[in-house]
Amino acid sequence: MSLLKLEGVTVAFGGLLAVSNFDLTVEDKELIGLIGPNGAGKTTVFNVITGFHIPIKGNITFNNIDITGKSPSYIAKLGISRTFQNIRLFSNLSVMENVMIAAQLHYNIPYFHTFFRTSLFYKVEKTIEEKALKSLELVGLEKVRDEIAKNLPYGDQRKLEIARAIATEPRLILLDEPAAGMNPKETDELMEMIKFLRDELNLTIILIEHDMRVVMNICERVIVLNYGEIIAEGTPDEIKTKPEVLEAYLGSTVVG
Amino acid sequence: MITEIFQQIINGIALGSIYALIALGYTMVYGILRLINFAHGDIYMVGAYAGYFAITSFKWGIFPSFIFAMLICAILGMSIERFAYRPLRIRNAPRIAALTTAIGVSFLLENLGIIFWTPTPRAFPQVIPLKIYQGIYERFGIIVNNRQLVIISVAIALMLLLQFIVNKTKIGMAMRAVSFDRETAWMMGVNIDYVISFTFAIGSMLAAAGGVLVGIYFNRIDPLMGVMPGVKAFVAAVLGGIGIIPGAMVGGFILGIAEILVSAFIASSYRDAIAFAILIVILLVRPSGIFGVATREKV
Amino acid sequence: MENLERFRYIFFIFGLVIIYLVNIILPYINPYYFQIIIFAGINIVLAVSLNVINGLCGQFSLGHAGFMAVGAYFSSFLTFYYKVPFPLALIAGGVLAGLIGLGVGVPTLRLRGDYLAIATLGMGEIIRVILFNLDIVGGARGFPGIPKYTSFFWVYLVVMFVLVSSYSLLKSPQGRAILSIREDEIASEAMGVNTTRFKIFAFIFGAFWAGVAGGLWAHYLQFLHPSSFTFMKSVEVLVMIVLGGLGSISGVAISAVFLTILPELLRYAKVLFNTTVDPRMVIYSLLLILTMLLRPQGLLGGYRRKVKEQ
Repeated sequence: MSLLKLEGVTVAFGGLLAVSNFDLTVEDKELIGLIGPNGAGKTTVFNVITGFHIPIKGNITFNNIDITGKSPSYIAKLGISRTFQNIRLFSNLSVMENVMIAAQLHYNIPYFHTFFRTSLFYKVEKTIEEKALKSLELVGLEKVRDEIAKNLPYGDQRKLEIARAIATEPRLILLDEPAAGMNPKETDELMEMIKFLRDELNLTIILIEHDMRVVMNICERVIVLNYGEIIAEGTPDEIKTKPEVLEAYLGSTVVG
Repeated sequence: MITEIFQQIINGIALGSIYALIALGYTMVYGILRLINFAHGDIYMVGAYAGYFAITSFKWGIFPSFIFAMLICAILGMSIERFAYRPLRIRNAPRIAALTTAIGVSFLLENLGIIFWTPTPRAFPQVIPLKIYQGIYERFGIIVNNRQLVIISVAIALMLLLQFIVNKTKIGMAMRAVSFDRETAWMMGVNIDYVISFTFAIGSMLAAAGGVLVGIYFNRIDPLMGVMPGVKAFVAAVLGGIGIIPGAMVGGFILGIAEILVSAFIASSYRDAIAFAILIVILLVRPSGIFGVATREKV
Repeated sequence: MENLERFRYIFFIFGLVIIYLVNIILPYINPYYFQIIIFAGINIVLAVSLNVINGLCGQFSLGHAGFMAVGAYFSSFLTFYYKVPFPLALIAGGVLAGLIGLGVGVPTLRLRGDYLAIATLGMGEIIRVILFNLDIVGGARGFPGIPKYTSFFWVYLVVMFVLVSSYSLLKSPQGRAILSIREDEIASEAMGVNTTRFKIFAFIFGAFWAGVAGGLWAHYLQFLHPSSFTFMKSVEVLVMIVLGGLGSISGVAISAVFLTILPELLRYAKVLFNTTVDPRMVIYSLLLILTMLLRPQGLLGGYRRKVKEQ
């Protein structure tokens, strides 16, 4: 049984088809790379899976549940989490608070307990805190837990986004250009971390990345998108040699 | 009954053309800065007072007084932009900060008005002797007075002039470019500060024109006269689709007519509520306004 | 931290005792000072509750005067016509304000930033126009003869409740969710926060306390008129929270007290400038503009907003 299935998904902005007739089947524990030139519709695919865009056509099912057109928060609760291309942290909150907001997803505590500070309240807070800390440890940010998020260096901000995404305890995680702006050493650490997430935490991962080193090294399957359509699909080695991919990237026949 | 409705619609158009003049300033500033210039209604008030003093103290005729009020407000609008809004814009401050500043400027103008000109309303000099035309309309029993005709025709003339400036001149093209994408316009060599200043000047001149016209129409001005028309004109701008110039005009007319109809046929004490009721409905049904195009936030 | 929090009940009882004792002494002091103390308390309630909507949740509301009016009129209506006990009337006023907050919040909270501001402003004006036309509460003539129930005790009891409940909210999962909406609504949703629900909660919470503050105000002045609840009243509260630093509960409370006393001090300015007109509002508006230009995070700190076009 596949974990995520997109069938004929089409997203339009005005008259422009950002993604058209997109099919994708993701199996449990897969590590997929989504690549393509700028404006190919990669982030739109993420947005439509996480409910930020509503497709005009097509179906999305996750874990046998139809999530087409559902709200982002509902989809997050079902177990899809993501990071953002242009980092979206809760900038004025501490690192710990950032992750706790994600970690509290599956803990609903009624307002009564909040306002009267019952022992249940403290118990739940403690559990959330422990979970958040665990996520921070995974990315190695536990030492800066009380730092304000926007004061972190760029690479750490990217890591914090990942920590926040895994704190929601997802089954599927969508990483939007996680290596952007990282130096080669940081990128190596990142690749280790992504492999760890998949192998040890049993997460299914789809990542958008421009750094081909990352894609070629860790992804098992690569999907190439151009003008909102899939133009090639296969293992990294297969992709490298396909002429349509080279064309899309180098524009050997089409200019502009 | 039909006659009565037509009569009220004429009155509504006269009021609406004043709302439209104020709404234009809102919509242009919003189009370019994404800022609700709360002080705009008070610029209109200052315009009315400038016209008043030009006529009473300087003993000028209506035409020079009109120009004088527009110039005073152009300077006022540009100074507000220069000293209150530009510093925030340069620091890229959050929009809430700019909005709060705008509210502050609005309060400042109102209260300075109260201090310098006292809160007591003043009678605007009757520079245009009232003439009532029944002539050709007599058959329908509709009464139009010459002041209404002056208001409507001046308003429409100014709007046409504005349309010309925005669509046919170089500065108008720059305004549209800045409104569309400020950063790109800047990279293309458009002098952003100059364009924004110019926009404030034009918007404030239109508001001043509205202020003088209101003085002529209602014969009465006071330092708080800008509060309600200001907010209502903003509603008109939203109704027509904020940032869209013809939208502001249409919105202004609709609002003026709706308000007059409500006070004529329901109760005049509800006239202030209708604008907001329209606002809330339009925001819920079609937040982009009648002429607006829906935009979505970038994720 | 947690241990400190556990003592909150003790603090609370301690606070109650102090309020009770002060309440006994207070009537003997100068009635002018007494009035300032009462208004300071009511302003704390207004400012701290608006701060939950504007400062913590980041939703720009300009309708606080409207909620206050609902609470003021409804509680007075209950005590005047039905002799309802004061605390119950206060709560009822708050609840009705909260309900109206819910009714207004559900449709308008999906609007962003300045659109929400103008919609809430419109809502406040509509409430005022309705009150203006409501004969049972005096309409345009005003509502006289409201019993004088408000005392130091009631005002500061409410102040304690509003402070404690705001702090409890801030340091909780719900509070973090509310803060995350202010920080980045999209990321917040992606993390599973039902942003609409929390925005509405913040709105109801703020509206409730504004309604209670209105009730206290009405039963102190013993007279209500719709013109007391204009947009200007909302802006007065807005100035308090902006000056105190949006988002900082203590800063906002302190600035509410400061801005209650300031106009009284400004009476001297009136003499100084030899004017018959109150220069208070001019100074208010200058304060607002200068704060935004020089210290956008407020005079007393508050969170630093990210420098980024929203």
